[in-house]
Amino acid sequence: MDIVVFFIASVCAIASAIAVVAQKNPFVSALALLGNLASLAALMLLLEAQFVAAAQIIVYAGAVMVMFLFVIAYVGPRGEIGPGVRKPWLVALSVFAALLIAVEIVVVVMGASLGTVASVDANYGSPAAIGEALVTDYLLAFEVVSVILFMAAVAGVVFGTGGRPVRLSDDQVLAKEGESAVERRREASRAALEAARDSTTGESAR
Amino acid sequence: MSVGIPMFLGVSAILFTIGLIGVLLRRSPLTVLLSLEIMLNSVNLTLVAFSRQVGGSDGQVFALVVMGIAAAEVVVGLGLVVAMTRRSMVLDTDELRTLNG
Amino acid sequence: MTELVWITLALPLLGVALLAIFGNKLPARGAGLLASLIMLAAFGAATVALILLASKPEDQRQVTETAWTWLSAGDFRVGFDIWFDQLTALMLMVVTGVGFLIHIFSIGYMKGDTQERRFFAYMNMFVFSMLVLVVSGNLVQLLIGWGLVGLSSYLLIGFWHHKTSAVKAAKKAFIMNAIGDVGLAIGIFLLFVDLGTVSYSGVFASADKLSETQASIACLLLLVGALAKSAQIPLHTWLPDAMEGPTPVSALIHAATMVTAGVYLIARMNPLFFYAPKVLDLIVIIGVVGLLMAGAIAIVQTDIKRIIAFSTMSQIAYMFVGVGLSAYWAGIFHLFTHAFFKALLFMGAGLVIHALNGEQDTRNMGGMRKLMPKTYFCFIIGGLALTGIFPFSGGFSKDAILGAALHVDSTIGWIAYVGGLLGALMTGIYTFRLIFLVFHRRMSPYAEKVAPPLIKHHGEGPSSMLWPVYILALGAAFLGLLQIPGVTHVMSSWLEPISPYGMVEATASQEWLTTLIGTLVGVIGIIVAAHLYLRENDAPERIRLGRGRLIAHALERRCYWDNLYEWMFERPVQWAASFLNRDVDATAFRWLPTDGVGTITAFFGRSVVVLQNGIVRSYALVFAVGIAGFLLFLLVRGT
Repeated sequence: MDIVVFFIASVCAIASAIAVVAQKNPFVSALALLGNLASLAALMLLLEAQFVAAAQIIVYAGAVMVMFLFVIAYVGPRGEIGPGVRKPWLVALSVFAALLIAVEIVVVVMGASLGTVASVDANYGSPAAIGEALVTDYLLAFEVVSVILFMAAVAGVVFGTGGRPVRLSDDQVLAKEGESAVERRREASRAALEAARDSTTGESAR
Repeated sequence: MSVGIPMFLGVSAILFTIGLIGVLLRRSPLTVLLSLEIMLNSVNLTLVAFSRQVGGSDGQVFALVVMGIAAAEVVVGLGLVVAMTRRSMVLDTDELRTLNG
Repeated sequence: MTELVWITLALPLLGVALLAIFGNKLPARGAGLLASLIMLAAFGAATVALILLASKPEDQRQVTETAWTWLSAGDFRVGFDIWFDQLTALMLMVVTGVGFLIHIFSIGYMKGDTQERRFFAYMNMFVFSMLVLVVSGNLVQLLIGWGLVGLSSYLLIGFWHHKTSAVKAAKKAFIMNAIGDVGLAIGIFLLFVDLGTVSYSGVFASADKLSETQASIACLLLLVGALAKSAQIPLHTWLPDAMEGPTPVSALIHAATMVTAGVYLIARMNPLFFYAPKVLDLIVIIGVVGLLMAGAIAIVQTDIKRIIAFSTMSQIAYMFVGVGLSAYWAGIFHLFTHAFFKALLFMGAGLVIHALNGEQDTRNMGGMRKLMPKTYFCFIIGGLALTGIFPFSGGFSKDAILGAALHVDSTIGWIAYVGGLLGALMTGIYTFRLIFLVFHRRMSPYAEKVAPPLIKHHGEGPSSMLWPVYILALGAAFLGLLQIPGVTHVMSSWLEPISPYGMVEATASQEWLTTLIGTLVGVIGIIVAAHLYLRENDAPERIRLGRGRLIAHALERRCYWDNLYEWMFERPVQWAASFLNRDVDATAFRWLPTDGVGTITAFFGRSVVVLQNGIVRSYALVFAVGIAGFLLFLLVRGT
């Protein structure tokens, strides 16, 4: 029974992964990723990691992917750029390197003798066991991850509100509005500098 | 557990490779981020598999941490994408090369 | 009581800190007022400390205190010490008192300069450095103050740093002072090696353990430092050039305080110098030669400030003669009175320069007496004090030195006496030549054009510039009464205890004799000057072009010292530099990769920069290839 579930889940995972990578429309890619996540959750259940599987669905599929879908919807048609690469030999090199890595890992993994799988009790992988590990052995990691998530939230807000007003460089102004705009900007900043300087020096040199 | 642990590791390796190809070959930042997610998930699977092999819950905790980090990274990455869109920039990683030279 | 000394020391430091941090936010006037107030407070603290010290019985008037030990290595300990005795108290009063007056003067003089705040910060820093030097209780701290004073002098001489001449002068002063610092430092090291201590109490207590050679070498090295700081032969050439700085700087640093640090050093280390009598004789010789040479050069100078500068050098030579004869109190007394009348003369010169809109050449002056009567009056008082006419202060102090020379009655003493009298004659000549050229005679065309409108508009000067001059004139006139021979002994009795091996002091009758002769000689000098310079007279020109041609040429070239140093140091260095540049760098090294280093690096850089195309994907590709390769390597190698 396990083997069947395993094979179905693995095939779904691999197929959806290929779909993610190959699809031009990012919306379809995201949906394919959802499928991937679900398959992986199933695989994890096979490994008796119930909590992790549940977290995978709830957090990853439920939150992260939803965020992805929001942004993809916001970005709209601009997000569609095909996998066009200019140089075929780069494509070949990339694929070769990736496959090489895959082969190496598979060789290692299949050939190695991992020994017998440890036997675990019913408590293994349950929320209780994970919770206990989190607050005793891995408390620091737990806290640090909270801080990182907090920072991510702040980053999200900053990106959302646009942060501080952007001062375009001279080149960008040049591109947008032309030379006279650059000149006007320079004059304005020079005048402001003069005004600031005059107010602090007092009498000029004899 | 009739399926051996090495099988899970193998699946994970294949998924990792697919994700890697996606990161290397795609130009749209959104797709790159999605491929990155695939890579991260494959690593999660590996961690859980090894955790099962050893019998402790260390690997699972690690996998949860990785998930948290991945979420944070996605926030930042998508924030960048949104910011780029708002400035009407082209969403093409090949065009974003002000750091060249 | 030492708390007061700490306060006196800390106040200028506080001033510097405040001006440095908040200077930009102060109005321009505020910086000067703040600095002057701080000086006034420091002067107040110094005065109270002096009074407290004086209220102690005479043998207890030496207070030392160590604040903390900042250097300890094995048995060697150096702390931040205060050594407060009669000499220190007197020096504190001079530095803070005259310093305060000059700060007030500077408020008026530097008005309108864009960098006023920086000026007052530097001035306070200088005062702080000088105080560190003076209150120090060990040689290392003295060296610290010594160096800081040199730095402040450099900063202040080169204050108008857009003037190339000022920058060059500042460099020259600093480099010559650095030579002195080296001598001083090596002397301190030698003392440490021989005696094992650098604190004054330790050195004074064990000075008798030194052989005469050891003591002489150490004192000689200390003397090198003193010569550089006090601008005596052979390290004197920086002083005339230092007049590039603003006039208050010249008044404070190069008349009243910094240049007297050498005299202070010798007076302070007198228990050590007691064991090196030959060095003391050398000091007298250097002093006599210096005072004669400087006096002579001053007679031919045309720049008002440089006349006064050479006069300073000459007067400090007098002080050196005084301490060289072991009449330490006399040397310090002259230091004291000199601070007053020399600062007075510089400030008077500053008023004249101000009235002439920056002109310093005496050939463009003349007849200022009618336009600036108050300045003229004070200038006369200063001139009379400088020349040593009874009963002005300079006379009493100079004659104290000459009286001691008479009293000693040795070859050295007679050389000092005769030289001193000749010097007094020359002092009279150059001082009153200056006064006549500036204040009498016809006004030069330039002065006629520039001065009257300025003076009508501003008066002789703002009150901030005039009042310090008045106060200094009072001091120059009456301070001599502190030491009327046979009547009042304030100076000699106050300073006597600083010298455990006794001091030379002339008898009252010798003193009066010397005073008489000295005044006479001074008056002769004034008459000579009047004869040559009071009215329009071509006699000086005739002498200069005629019989006195050679001497005049030598004097105008400042006795060729600058030329000597140029030949000894500047030319070889420049030749070596240009040789290295032309013949070594450009030719011999061309084929070596001095250029090649650049080319090769650029080539490699260009090759590698291809990888930095800014495209993230390519970087990821490099990662992937790298990982693949690495894993392959691990696999093949086996575990």
